[in-house]
Amino acid sequence: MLKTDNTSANDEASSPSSPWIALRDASGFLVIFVPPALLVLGPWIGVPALAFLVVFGLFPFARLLFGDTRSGQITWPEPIAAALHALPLWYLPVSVVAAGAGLFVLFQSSVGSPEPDWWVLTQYGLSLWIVNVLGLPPAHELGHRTRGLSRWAAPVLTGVIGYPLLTMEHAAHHASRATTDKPEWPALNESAWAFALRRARWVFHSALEFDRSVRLRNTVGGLRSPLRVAVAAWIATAAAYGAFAGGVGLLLFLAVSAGVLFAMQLMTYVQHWSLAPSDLPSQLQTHAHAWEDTCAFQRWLTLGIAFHEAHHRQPGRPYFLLQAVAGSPRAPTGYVGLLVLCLVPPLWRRWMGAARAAWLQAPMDAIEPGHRVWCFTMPDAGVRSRP
Amino acid sequence: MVDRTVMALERQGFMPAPQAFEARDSTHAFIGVPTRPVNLDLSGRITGLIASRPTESTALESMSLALLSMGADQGVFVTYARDAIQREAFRFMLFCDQRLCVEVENVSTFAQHPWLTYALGHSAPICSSALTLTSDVQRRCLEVAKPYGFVSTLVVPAHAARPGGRVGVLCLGSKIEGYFESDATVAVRVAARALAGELNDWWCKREAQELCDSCDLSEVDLQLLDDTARGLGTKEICRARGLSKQSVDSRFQRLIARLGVTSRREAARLLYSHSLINTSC
Repeated sequence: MLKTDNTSANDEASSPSSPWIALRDASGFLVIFVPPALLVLGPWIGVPALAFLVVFGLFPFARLLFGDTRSGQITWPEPIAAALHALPLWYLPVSVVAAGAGLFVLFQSSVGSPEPDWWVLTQYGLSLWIVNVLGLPPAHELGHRTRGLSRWAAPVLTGVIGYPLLTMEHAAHHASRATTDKPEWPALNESAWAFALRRARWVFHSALEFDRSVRLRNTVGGLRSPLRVAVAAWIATAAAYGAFAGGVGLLLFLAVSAGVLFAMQLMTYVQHWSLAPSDLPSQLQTHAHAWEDTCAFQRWLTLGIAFHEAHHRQPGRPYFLLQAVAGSPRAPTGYVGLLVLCLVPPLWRRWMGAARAAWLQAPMDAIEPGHRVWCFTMPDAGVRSRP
Repeated sequence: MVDRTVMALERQGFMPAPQAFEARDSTHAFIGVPTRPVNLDLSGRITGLIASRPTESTALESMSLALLSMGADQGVFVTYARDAIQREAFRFMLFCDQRLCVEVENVSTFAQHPWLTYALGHSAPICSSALTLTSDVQRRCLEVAKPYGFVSTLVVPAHAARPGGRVGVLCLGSKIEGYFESDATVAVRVAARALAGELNDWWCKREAQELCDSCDLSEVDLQLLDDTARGLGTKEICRARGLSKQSVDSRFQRLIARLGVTSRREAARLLYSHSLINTSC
C-alpha cells in the first residue's frame, strides 16, 4: 500500500544538501587524480618516488585537516550526481596517460641510458605501484556496474593497473559466505602474510570459476568473459611497457603487477580481519561485518571503499551514496596505516585487538576519528581507551 | 505434510482431499519408470491459487503440493535480481532439506550454481543432465544435490515480464534416475513452467512492495517517475503537476538517494522493472 504523500517525512529524514556544500564535498573526489599526476610530476622534477612519498608520508595526515564525513543521508543535486557517476570512467584514460607520460619522462631523464639506474627505477616502481593500488577503487566501482561503458571499462582498467583478476574474484568474494574456510575472510589468529599468500593462490581459481559461470549465462548483450578482456588488457599493457622500455620496462610492469596483487590481498585482510561469524558472538552474526572508517579524505581517495560494511550490504549502491553502517566496527586509522601495521603481526594484533575489543564492548558507540590520525592510545589488554 | 496442505486448501474451498488424489482422468500420465501418480489437473489448480497472492506459508505449501502432483520428490524455487551476486540477494522456497544450501555453498556460490546461471540466459526448461558444464566445480554443485533427492532434476526458468526484472528458477527433483529425462514428462514441463511463472510473479509483487516500504515511496513519487519515463522534463512536470521547480528538483534529489541510483531516469527504470510504473524509459 503506497502512501499518498510523504513530503514531511522526507523533509525530516533527508533535507537536500545546499548546492555549495554538495559541490565542495563532490570536489573532494577529484583527489583520485592526484596520485597519477604525481606519477608524471615526480620524474620530471627528479623525484621518481614522489607519488609514493606523498601517499605514505602526507595523505595519512590529511585527516587532521578534513576530519570526518558529514553524517546524515547524503543527497546530491542531479548534475553533481551525474558528474560523480562519470568520475571513475575518467580514471581509465587518466591512468593510461599518466603511466605512459611517467615512463616517457623517466626514460628521457635517466633510465633510457645504456646502463639503467636501478635505484631510480625502483623509486619509480614504488610510485607506479601505489598509484596502481589506488586505481583499484575506481576499477572496483566500475566492476559493480552492470550497464553501459562501465562493463567494458572495468576489466580494461584492471588490466592496465596490473590486476586483471579483480572484477571476477571480487564478484566471487561478494557471492561467498563469510567463512574462514575459503580465503575470503581472514581468521582472528591469521596473520596478514599467511592470509595474503593463501588468497593470492586462491584468486586465480576463484576468478576463473566465476568467469566460467558468467559465460554459462549466455546473456544477450552482456560481456561474455570479463576475465578475458582484463587479461587481454594486461597483456597489451605489458607489451606496451616492453615496447617502450625493453626488458626493463616489462620487468617493471611485472613487478608492479605482483605488488598490486599482494596489496589487494592485504586490503581484503584489513577490511575483514576477525569479523567472520565464527569469530564473533552470536548476537553479531546476523550480518556480514567489515571494518569501516569515516575519514572524509579517505572516502574521497578510495571512492567510499572505507564504508566497507555498507558496501557489502548493498554492493550496487553508488560510491557517493554510501555512508558508514551504525554499529559497524571502526578501524583505528586509515588504510595506509593499516597496510603498514598488518605487516607486523604482533603490532597488528595488539592495536587492532584493542579496536575489536572496543567494538565488541559497545558496538553502537562508534569511535569516530574526527581530526585525529590515530584513534587509540597504547592499548592495555581488554581496556577500551581513546586518545 | 501432503494431508495438511490439502486440508488447508479444502478450507479455502478448493477441492475435497479424497478426490484430489484418487481422480483418474485424461490428464494423468504414467511414465515408463516407477513413480508416484501425476495429477496435472490438480497441479494446475494449485498453481492458479498462487495468483491470488497468498501468504508466504500458504504459497510454500501450495508449491509443495503442486510439486508432488507433478511427480517430484523435492523442489526448490529461487528468485534473484538479474545482476545480483551477493548471497543475501537470493530468495529461496525450499521443499527439500535446507542443508542442501549449505552443501552448495561449501562447493561454490549461489551466483555460480549451474541451475541459476542457466536461468539467467534461457527460458526453456532443461534437465540438469543436459546442462553444458565446463568445470569440476560446476559438476560438484550438481553432485552434492543428489543425496538430497535431486538425482534427476528439471530446471525451469521464469522471467519477469519487464526488462531488468527478477529471474526465478524452479528445480524439480526426483530420486529416480532418468525420471524427468523421459519423454513422458513433457506434460510435467508445461505444468512446471506455469508454476514457476506464478511463483516468480508472486515474488516480484512482494519485492515491489518491499521496495516501496524500504524507500518510503508515495504515489506522488511514482507519478513523477512515470512523467520522467514519458520523457517530460522538469518544466513540463511542474506545469502538469502544479509544483514549483524547486519542489520537483528537491523531490527527485531525495528520491534518487533513497533508491540508491544516480539519475531520475535510472530511478524510473528501476521502478519500471518492478512494475511500479507502466512507462518504460
